[in-house]
Amino acid sequence: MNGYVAGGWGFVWAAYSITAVVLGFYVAWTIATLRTRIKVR
Amino acid sequence: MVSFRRLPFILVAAGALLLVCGSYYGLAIAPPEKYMGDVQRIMYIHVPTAWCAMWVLTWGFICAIAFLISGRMSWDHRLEAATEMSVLLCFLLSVQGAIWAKPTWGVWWDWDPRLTTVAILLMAYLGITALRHYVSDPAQRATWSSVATVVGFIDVPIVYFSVKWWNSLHQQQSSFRSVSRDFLIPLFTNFAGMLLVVAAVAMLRSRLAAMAAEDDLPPALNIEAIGELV
Repeated sequence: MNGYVAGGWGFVWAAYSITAVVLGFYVAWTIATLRTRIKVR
Repeated sequence: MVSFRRLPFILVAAGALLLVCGSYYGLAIAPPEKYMGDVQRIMYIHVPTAWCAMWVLTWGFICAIAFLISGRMSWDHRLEAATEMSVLLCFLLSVQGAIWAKPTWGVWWDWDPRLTTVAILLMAYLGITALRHYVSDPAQRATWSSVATVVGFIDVPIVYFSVKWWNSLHQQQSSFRSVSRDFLIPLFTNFAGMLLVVAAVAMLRSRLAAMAAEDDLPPALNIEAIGELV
């Protein structure tokens, strides 16, 4: 086996999903907040 | 000609597209690594996050130095964006690392030099973010957070060299010559995508900080209000 890590797709999806959600949320929050501030002006 | 105000939105879209392409290649086309199997695919998102974190931390350091030298508030607005994004990227880095550590090391966390120094970095930048929220005077806030950023940045080279200086569970940086082309394609595509997104959001977040600072000025100091009065 040489230390081969079997399976592990669950870990892969978890890492990609968390990254996408956190980055996506931050980008969306920044754009939305900026647009709101521009509208208020 | 693309207007400067629209540029960040175009960069976000281009970056997102590159991230989708790079992730597709990394998840569906690239072969599993010989020893770690499919879990190694986390590298295609973990390493770009680490590289982007290093860029953002360095940009924050440059902004802090530039503010301390020039005293211009525009550097503090850029620093505000860089500090917030440093926290975000260090947090992501730690979470991705923990997810990778569990199947390969058997634990979510270890007091390993690399992990510990990144955790210190995250705590330091969380502290700087808290400092920015609690100091109300803009000039004082800018000066204190710039000094704190310069001090906090000392940890960045320690993070980088920690795997070389100490006996670490975390692997050392690989040489590109020893890495297969099928692994490099998704790695660099995701890095380019994430860098575009991070650069674009840094621009937008700095603009937001500048607008918030303008709105927080008392009416007597607001240039537009002065104009109306005159």
